[in-house]
Amino acid sequence: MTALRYILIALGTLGIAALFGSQIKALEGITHDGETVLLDLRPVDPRALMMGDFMALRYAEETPQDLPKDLPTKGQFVLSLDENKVGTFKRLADSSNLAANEIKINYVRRKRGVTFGAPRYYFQNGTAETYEASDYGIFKVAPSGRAILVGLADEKFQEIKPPKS
Amino acid sequence: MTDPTFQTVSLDDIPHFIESDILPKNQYLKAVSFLRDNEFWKRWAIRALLAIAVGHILSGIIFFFAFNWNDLSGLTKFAIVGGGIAACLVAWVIAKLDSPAGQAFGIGATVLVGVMFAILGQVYQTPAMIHTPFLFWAALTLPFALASRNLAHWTVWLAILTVAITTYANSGLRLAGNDGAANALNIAVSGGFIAGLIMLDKVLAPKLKWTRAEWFRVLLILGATGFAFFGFTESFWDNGSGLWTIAFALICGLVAYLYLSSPSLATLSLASFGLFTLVAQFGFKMFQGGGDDVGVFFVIFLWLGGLTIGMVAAFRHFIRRFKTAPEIENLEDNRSVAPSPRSHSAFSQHLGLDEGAVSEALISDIERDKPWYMEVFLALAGILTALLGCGFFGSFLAMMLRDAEEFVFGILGIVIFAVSIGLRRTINSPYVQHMLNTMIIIGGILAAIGFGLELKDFDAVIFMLLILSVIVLTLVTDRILEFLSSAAIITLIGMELYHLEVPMGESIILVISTVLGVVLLTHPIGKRLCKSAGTAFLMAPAILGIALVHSQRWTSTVDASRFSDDWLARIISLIVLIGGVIYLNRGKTLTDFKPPVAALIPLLVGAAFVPLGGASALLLILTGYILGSRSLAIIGTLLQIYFLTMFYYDLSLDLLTKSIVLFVSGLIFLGVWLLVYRKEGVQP
Repeated sequence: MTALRYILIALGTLGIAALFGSQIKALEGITHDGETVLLDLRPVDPRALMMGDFMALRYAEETPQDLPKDLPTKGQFVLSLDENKVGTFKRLADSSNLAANEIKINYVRRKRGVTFGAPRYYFQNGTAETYEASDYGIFKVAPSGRAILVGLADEKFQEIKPPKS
Repeated sequence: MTDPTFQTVSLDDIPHFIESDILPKNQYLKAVSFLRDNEFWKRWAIRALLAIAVGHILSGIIFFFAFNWNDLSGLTKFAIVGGGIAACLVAWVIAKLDSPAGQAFGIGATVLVGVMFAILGQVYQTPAMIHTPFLFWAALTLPFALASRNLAHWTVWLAILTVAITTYANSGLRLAGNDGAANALNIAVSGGFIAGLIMLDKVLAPKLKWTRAEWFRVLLILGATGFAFFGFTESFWDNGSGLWTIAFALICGLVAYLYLSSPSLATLSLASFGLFTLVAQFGFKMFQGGGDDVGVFFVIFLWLGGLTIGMVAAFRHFIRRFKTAPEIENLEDNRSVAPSPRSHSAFSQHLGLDEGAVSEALISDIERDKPWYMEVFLALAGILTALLGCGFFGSFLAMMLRDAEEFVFGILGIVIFAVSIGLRRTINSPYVQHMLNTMIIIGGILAAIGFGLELKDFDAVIFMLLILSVIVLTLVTDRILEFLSSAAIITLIGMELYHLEVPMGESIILVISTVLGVVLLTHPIGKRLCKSAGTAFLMAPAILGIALVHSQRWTSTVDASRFSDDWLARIISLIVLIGGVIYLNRGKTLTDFKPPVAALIPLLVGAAFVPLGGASALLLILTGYILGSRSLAIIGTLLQIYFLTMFYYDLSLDLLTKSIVLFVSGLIFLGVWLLVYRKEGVQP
């Protein structure tokens, strides 16, 4: 019986190592190699249990005007990027090829609009003021459409760096 | 043959001995000291100390990473926490899987996996769905829970799973507009808890000693009734859904199962109260169709009154039927989880009392077997009934006396109040007593509203309500009314202090309520020991603290300093806490102090930093420990957990400072625990 317990602990340990190892590798890959996209945001403020201070975010492109009523629960949007890498909703993704300035981004449907998966930006405790001037969320998007939020940018499309301690 | 129940005496019997003039009131503390199960409380305290140490250390780690230090790269954070998980697992194995330290390390590893997910979300600003990390957290740590053979570890795991499911239902399904699926999931989880309980009782408990703790069964039933309540309520009020019938059937089945095959008073009364909350809603449904008609108020008032009386009858039946059988918590394998009563002859001899009189008093005490949690459930039901009664009587009187002056309502209220008190003092039937309790509350509130509208003076209304509450406290001997009237007294004093803008009002309330609480819990007044009143007063500062923390969060995150930065208020609360502990230990030398000074000092340091009210929660725990009262200790523990959580949101200190405070105090507690554990050589 004791041997079984040690086996269970070992299995749990392996599972943890495997999951986190694979996730960190995948997310680091997107962070370094993903397409950069800026999304116009509407900041909304607080503190999350265990993850710390954050800014609640909403993106203008999550509630585009011409969304169909029977939008699937999950899918992809096609965004067109301007010269500053700011993304604008173009259409729902289909089988057609993307233009040079287009990318696909995954979404999940909500009661009103959709989410791209980054409703919060976490920052060091006590540095909220640094990010008050943010106008855009900076995303790295993988070819698969998976996006991660890597920073916030001001009205001049410049990334807002965290303050030096 | 004498019923063996009446040969034992417990702490709950002391108030009746005082009221019956058998025990002189100046021997109250001596009686408490004799009946206090020192071995039980020593084991409890050692476990509590380890739990506090582990809780503080883990909280310190969580707060540190929540600080989200820019200078620490993401990969460094992963390495630190990953190393921590590995260290905990290795330590778990080295310290032996079933030792207290080993189990603490095992729980630590489970919690740190959650910290790892938090860092993943922090570094990569993911994921979108809040339930995802909790689901993975539960899945990854299930092997640890399975390996643990420890119910505390399973409780942590179940909490993670519950959060995962709740967030999926409410943040996932509901946000996507799928309310039906969310309700179905809640009801399914309730069914899962019930299935888990049955498996625990029928399959695991007969074979595995470590699965037999009663408190874990209570938690499972709390989970079952809680999820059933949400699933039932959401679908019941949504006219198109019939899912509520399944929730209702589940809870009916749970009550039936507990009654027929696995009886214990705690679980039966909790499940019965859960059923009450569902059945009560049938009456409220009438509001939907009937509007605010007086007749609707009356019918619902009768409905709830009838349900409350039904619950009283059910509880009395449960006590009669199951109290004579050994409760699960008193089985030999679970001796460590319940204090042992003493024989009435030993008690009589120790205190020089007449053994026959003591035995007679035990037989005649009809309240003897009613546990405190039954009183709480009945109180909640009674308050709801009283509120509806106020609605009915108020509407009826308004209709009948529509042109009358407001003071007529006040006079009617006084008449109802006075007549109800007079009858209450003479009638012995518990059913009628509960109805009269309701009428006392109704009369008092009507009087206050009537005269208040007439006088249009806030101070006069407060003063009047204060007088009425003191009258109830003085003239009516009833645990529920004693608690409610004491709570009303301290609330009214607080409201008046705020109204008059008295500076340091919170500290004044703290001092008044703590003094009253400690005195009432340790000194009989005449022939009465006002335990419920003392508990209410002792709880008041902690409840006030909770209200203040929430009002701080609601009003503004900018103006967060009023109650958090106020170090004078904290110093006062510390002085009150120290004073309370010294008073409860009066006549003892420092070496005989409960708790030992070595444990008390780090507790005080910790209490200094939590928001206002946290020190009062600690005093509740210590008072329960010193007087041997489990109910006080449980209430204080729940409030203390809450304050530790709220410490996280306190904006007066940054998270890094708080993490250091928690981590260091946790290490100190761990050191004290090690010393005590080795010295006492206590079996876990």
